[in-house]
Amino acid sequence: MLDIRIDPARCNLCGHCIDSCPAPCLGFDEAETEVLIFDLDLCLICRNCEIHCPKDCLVVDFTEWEATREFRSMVRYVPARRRSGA
Amino acid sequence: MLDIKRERTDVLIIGSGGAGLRAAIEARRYGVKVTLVDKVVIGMNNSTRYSGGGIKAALPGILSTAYTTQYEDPREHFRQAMIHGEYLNDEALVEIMTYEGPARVLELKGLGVETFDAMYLKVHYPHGSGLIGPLVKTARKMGCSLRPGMVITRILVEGGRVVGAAGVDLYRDRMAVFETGAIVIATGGAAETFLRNDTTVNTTGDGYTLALDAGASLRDMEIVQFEPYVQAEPGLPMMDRHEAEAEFHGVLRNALDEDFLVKYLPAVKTGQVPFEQQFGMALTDIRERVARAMVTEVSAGRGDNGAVLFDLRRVPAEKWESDFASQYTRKVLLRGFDVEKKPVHVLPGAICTLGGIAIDGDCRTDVPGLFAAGEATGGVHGAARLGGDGLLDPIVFGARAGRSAALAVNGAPEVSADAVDEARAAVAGTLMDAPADLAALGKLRDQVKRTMWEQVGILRNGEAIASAIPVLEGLTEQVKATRVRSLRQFKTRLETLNLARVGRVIAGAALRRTESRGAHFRTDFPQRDDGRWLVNQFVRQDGKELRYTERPVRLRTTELLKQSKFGIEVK
Repeated sequence: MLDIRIDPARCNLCGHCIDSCPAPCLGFDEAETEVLIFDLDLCLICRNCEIHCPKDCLVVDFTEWEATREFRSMVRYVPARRRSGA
Repeated sequence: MLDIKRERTDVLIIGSGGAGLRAAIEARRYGVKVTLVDKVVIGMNNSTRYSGGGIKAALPGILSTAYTTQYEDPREHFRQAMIHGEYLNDEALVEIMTYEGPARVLELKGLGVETFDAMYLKVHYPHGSGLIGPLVKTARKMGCSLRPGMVITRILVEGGRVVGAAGVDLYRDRMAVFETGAIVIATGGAAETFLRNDTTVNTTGDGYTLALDAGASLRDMEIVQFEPYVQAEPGLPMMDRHEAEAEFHGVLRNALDEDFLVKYLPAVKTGQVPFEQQFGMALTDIRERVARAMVTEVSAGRGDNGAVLFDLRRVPAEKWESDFASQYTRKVLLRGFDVEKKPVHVLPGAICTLGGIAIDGDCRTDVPGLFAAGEATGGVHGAARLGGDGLLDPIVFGARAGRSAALAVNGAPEVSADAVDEARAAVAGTLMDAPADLAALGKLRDQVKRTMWEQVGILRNGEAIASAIPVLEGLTEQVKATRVRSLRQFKTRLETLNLARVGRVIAGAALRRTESRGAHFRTDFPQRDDGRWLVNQFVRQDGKELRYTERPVRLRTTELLKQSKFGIEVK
């Protein structure tokens, strides 16, 4: 079934996945030290979070389809680095 | 203390949906420096991208697919848009959209939109990706500066004209001040104001409050369109269903297993003949009536778990294999919900606000130097939107706004130090060093959305709206009193505040319009009243007050008035 997996070791907390989510599936905790998955029921499986992750540390565990790779090239640009951790 | 980065640009475009990107591309063609900002990511998280429909314009034979027939002639498109919008549309704007539309759609090919099929068919999911992706690429290639994570907090107006904008940069943890004489607001609508909606969470009406604060006026804010077939199944997202086949063959049933649509739209033969053949209009064009029927059934106690059932068992098997159905399979069936065998719960949800910033044909607002395009504007669709116009509007008016903004670039405006300090103080005043109560903020947001949905939703009545107004004002004050810790939380707070403020504007306008017209339905005034209400309502911020004014609709084509919309009576 549908699952979103984040590798906290590689995550730089830039927030691109949160900003790219059309539903409130993802979000920071209050101190902004961790990306939380709030509600997978709302996931539209648009894969925006996966496409936008500059660190390749987020995976939407779901059937792959051809558009994903193409979008990836489209949105990939030098991401802003945030301070990691608090 | 918040750092401020000042920078100069010729044209600032706020919002990176269809309208914003199209404006950026057009402005860049004039050789000016273009900065495109979005509060989230560029291009990939907005209504254009997640739109499910196609573009309709007078391009017979070129754009027609099995599901979308195009208009034969711009005149026919114009006529339908006016009749359907029940004359609240600005004739001049509709004329521009319908006559300029075909050229703008064909032009998309030159902007990298490879096949029009991509906008409809199985190539891309979500459907709007085929349109928005190439536009992002083109804008970047042309040298527009694209800035994600930039939340514009106010438009700086000095000496009666725009001199810049201030915002916060989420990715760099600082404030930004843009010095520019031309700003395009392309921030989209405010469907998120309602509890049930199928837009992204970003449609919080930011452009409306920016425009109000800058001194521009909004029009027809009471008009909010609701899509009937929005899923209400626990465990599934509130998305709407774009499959034309499903709409042709699907049957709406209440808890008593009645095909209830027949009661409300007597001429309907559900599940047999496409609506287009029955009424000359697609089902998307009578959606407000279907939505009303569904809510009426539920409120009469004939709902199933507070929703109605959408039965897709009559959809022929081969249809599931092709086109739209395959999308649906990917999206829903893989979660274990078999719509081929089991009816799905649906209940309407807001899809777009048809009112918005008042513009003229060149997308100018009341404030010199401020332009607007796309869903953020009002007057194009009137009281109800035709299916297919939702994507045409941003493409046509985005281009116009970009052109007007590029031509308005004049010298190098200076933002005074006072204005910068004030903008910084406004942000800094909401920040604190202690943990913020995000749960409380979320609750306020939920309260706004619930109030709007229950009291200013699909079936409105004066009493409910009147009681919602003080609630919304109270919520606005409560949100204003909250403090947050980070800029990202500041964005959440600002969005909540915008929702409450826009909700108040919508409720005020809905209370004043004592008739039913298009998507605006008052149970206490169920009839259209052309004698009194052939007027557009404008609203502007006057200090703390909202000032509503009315302007009579001036129709050049008065013979349109005599034509009825569907030739059917709706109970």
